[in-house]
Parts: sequence; structure tokens; C-alpha cells
Amino acid sequence: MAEIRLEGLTFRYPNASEATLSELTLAVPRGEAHALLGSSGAGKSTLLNLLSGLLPAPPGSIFFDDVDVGRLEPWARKVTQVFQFPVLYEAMTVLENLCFPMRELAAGEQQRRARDVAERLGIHGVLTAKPAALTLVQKQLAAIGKALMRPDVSLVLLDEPLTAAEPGHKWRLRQTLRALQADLGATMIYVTHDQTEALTFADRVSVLHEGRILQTGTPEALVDAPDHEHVGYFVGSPGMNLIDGEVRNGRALIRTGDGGVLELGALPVADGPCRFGFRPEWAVLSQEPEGLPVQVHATRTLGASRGETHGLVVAEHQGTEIFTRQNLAGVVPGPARVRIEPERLVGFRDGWRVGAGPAGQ
Amino acid sequence: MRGASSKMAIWVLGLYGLYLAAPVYWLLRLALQSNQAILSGERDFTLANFAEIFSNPVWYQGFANSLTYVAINTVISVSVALPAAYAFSRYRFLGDRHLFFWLLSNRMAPPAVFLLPFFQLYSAVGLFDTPLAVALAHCLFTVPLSVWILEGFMSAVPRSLDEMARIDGHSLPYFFFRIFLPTIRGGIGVTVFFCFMFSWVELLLARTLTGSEAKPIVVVMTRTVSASGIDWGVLAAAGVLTILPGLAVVWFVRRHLVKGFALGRVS
Repeated sequence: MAEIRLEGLTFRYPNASEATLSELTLAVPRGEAHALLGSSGAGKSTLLNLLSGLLPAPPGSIFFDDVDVGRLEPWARKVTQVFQFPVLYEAMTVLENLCFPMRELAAGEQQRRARDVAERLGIHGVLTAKPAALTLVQKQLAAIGKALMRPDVSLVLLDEPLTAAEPGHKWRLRQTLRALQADLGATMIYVTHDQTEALTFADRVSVLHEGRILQTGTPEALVDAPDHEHVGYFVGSPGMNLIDGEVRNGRALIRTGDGGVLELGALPVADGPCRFGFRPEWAVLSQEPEGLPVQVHATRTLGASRGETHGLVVAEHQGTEIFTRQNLAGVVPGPARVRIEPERLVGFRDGWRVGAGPAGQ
Repeated sequence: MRGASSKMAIWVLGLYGLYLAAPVYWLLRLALQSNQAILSGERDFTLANFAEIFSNPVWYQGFANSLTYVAINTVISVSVALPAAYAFSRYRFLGDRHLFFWLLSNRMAPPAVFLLPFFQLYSAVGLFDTPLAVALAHCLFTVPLSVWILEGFMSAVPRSLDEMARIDGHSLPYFFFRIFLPTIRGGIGVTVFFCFMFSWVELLLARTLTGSEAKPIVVVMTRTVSASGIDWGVLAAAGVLTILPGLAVVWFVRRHLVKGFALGRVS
């Protein structure tokens, strides 16, 4: 296992006019399960190929345990990878596939390790079969097993490994993977565009957007204090509500339609225009006259507990869509007010959370 | 309704099968009769025609020559086309698409176009009347075809297999021969089939580029007219034997053919 460090990693494809990745700095300690979250085109695959060594990295930008690995071949970096769709050697049995990365170990030890991991992954019944005889999920489990086999592995890369799995299985597979990761103490980097996957799998998550890391933090930090509007919007389902307003004397103010001014809460930052963010979980429709005036359009049921339905309220405030996540009892379309937990309000300027961001505003 | 239409389908298929099988049946029937019986319409059964072929060097040499150049052609085509198809499938280089199309456009020219240059060239370098001459001439057509077919199969294999092999520390040759080729063996089977079929039935080049030494079976068959007329029985027996290698190849690659066509084309 190794500590992985990126130091100002910038990468531009030959003949490309713009850098695909710019100034990435990140430290992943040994044994951490780290998720790279980003939409397609954010540079996830490029970063993955740079980490694995399929693409050479500029010198002095990628370190495994203080060794600059930028020009090393994948095998020398001791990385293993799970691809989006299962990749196995068709001519070999599952067991041979699993044993393959352990070719430096004795045969008996190889078999013991392979059977152990296969049992944990629930594929011990198909060890003697050829990959062609397996289901898609079994194949991917075998590919995951293969990536965990190498005894001196420094880093395990997972590229959206659960795409092939049915939604119902994903949760269980993720838990299995997480348990194996914890037992082996493997440093893992899990690439995904699915924020639920990232938040439930990883110790820490990095959000990648347009070639930059916007924020690295625990799932809680990403939810409670997103450093960037995009993080607030991308993390969460649905993402953070954002409305424009202004800060005056430490008070978060927005203009209401009738020319009045409404205070959403206290925000101890410098005066000036500001964009306020709050998660659907932090807001609730209220009957009181205070609160953000909205027009309720619809509700979406997500579940029920103790006989009451819960879900999303889809509303609108002056052309901006506002979601709240709450008890749906008594919610009807029409005008209403939204009460926001005032102490959780987040303020953004130029995209960055006030107090966070690259310039340390 | 469904019963009726499936009954209809069986009839149509049955008739079509009959249509295809009738000449083969007739050929087999002729092959097992003596020339006199064929001409007079008597009933007869004899293996003498086959005995004639296996004892007369003109006949069995014809088969040997044909099989030799077909085998050489297939080996050359597949071994040349494999790396070429891999390059087209995996690398982007200047003019790759044009080159790929140009390869296929070679197939558009009828073989007759190349007769004269081949004849002169081979005569000049002393290749005339050898199996190698025919094999090389056929390569002009089978190599582009092979590249085209194999490229389809290789492109159906995800690139992550190559990447996985690199991460596992395999060299390119090890990956190519031990991992990649077994993965596309269906495609190789289909390619062998097409090379074989082209080379086995091609007549024009094979006849022009050979004299007496390397005369292929299809040519021998066209020269059975003797002073005593056409030897129908022996000709039919040779025809039956000419069908057999094709059947054998289809038999060996039949599993790959079905699987292979599906892989390379549909999905």
C-alpha cells in the first residue's frame, strides 16, 4: 500500500489546445478509500490513466510513497485496475485469472488467497469455469477479485466498476468491496459520476470539474459545506437550491417579488452580492407568513414511514426551481412559504463558498 | 395462423434445400457410374472413377497442387493481416482511414486485370508454374479481405483488454499471442474460411500462372476432353472430391462461423 500524492498535476493531450487537467493537488493517505466524483468530460478517465501509468505523467507531479512514478510503467507502479466493464482473460479459468497477478507467490499460497477472496465476493462456485460461462456481474466480481490479488499492490483503481450491476445489487456489492478494502488495507481510488456511490463508498471524496479538483473532503463536508456551487449542486439528489441575494451587515437578504426584502438568516461575511445555497433537507414548507415565498408545482413521493409519505416538493421562486425534502402530508400546489434552517445557509461568490476557494477569499 | 405460416416456411426452406442439393446429388450419382452407363442410361455402381483419380498422378497431383497453394495463401494472408488489422483497430495514424478503404478497393478490381503483370513478373523471376506464384497472386485479394474481417473482430474487443494486459505487466507480443489471439479466434476462423474459399475456387489466375508442374485441380477438370470424348464419370468424381475440402473447413470453423459473424457484424 502506498500514499498517493498529486502535486500540481497538469496534463494536456498532444494537439489539444486546452489542458485536460490543471494544477491538481491531492494527498490520499495509505489505506484510504477515496472517490473521484465528476460528470463525464471532467477529466476522470485521464486522471485514472495518469495514475495507472497508461499515460505518462509530467515529472514531479505524481508520487507513490515519495517516489516520482510519472514515467514508470503500470506494472512497476504496482497498480491494479477494475474497468467499467469486466475484463478477464478469456482463455483462462476464473481461478487462473485470479492467480495471475500473484505470479511471484508460491502456487499453494496463490490458490489460498484466490479462494479466500472469491468466497468473500461470492464467486467461489465458478472458479473452474471460463469467463464466457459467467454472468456479467460474476465477471465483474472476478475482475474486482483479480485487482485485489496482487500482494504488493500500491493502489487499486476502480473505474465506475458497478456500471454492469443492477441497481438492486449495487448497494450490496459496494458494501462487499468496502469490507474487502478495509480488511486488506488497500489504498483505493474509485472513479464515478454517481454521487450516491461516491458518498457511500469513500472515506473522502474529490469532486472533479472541468479538469480541476473543486473540493476534497469527507462526504459530510461535501454535503454541509460545499466549497463550490458546482459541488453543492452536483452532490445531493436533487442538489443544493441556489438563489441570488445580497449580504448586508452580516444578514443574508433576498428581494421578494413585491419589492420587499426578506432575511434568510445570518451570514458573517463582508457586504455585497451573494448567492445563497441550502439543501432540500434543510428547508420545509411552512404556514407562517415568514419564509421564502414560492409557488408549489408538484410533489414526488420517495417513501413512507409511520403511515406518512415523504418526498420532494417541487416549487419555484421567481423563476428559480426550489426543492424541499419533507413530509408530504397536506402539501398542495399553490402559493406557500419555505422556511430554511437559518444557521445552515451557505453563501457563494464567484462560484466559490465565501471563505473557501483557491484564493482563500 | 402461426402454424400455417411455419408450415409454409418449412415448405419454402425444403424446396430451396432441394434446389441446392439436386446438383450435388446428380454429381455424386454420376461419379459412381461408369462412362458407358452414363451415356447409355443403364444402372451401374462402380468406384472405378475414384480409383482412377487416386492412381493417376495428373489427377492427384492437381489436388495436391491446389491444396498447397491454398494453404500457403491462407497462412500468408492471416499472418500478414493479423498485425495490420491490429494496427488499424488500435492505433490512429496519418491516413489510416484512407489506407483502410484503399485496401478494400483492391477487392473491386476483377482478377483478370492483374493477369498480365503477374504473368510477366513471375516469368521474369522464375516463379511461374509454382504453387507459390498462385498463392502470392491470390494474396492480393485475400489479404485486404482478411484485414477487413479481422479489423471488425478486433474492434469488437474492448480496448480495456489491452490496458489490463499492460497493467498486468505483459509485453505487447505476449499479450497479442497469448491473450488477444485466443479472444478473437472466432474471427480468425472466419478469415481462414474466406481465404480458403476464395483461393480454392479461383480459376483464372490459377490457370494462367501455372503450366504443367503446378496445375491445380480446377484446371485439370477443364482438360478432361480426350480423343475418346469427355470422361464424365471421372470428371464427376473429381467434382465430388473438390467439394470435400470446403466441407471440411466449414465443419471445423462452423461454431466460430455462427458466433464469429454475430460478433463481427451484429453487435
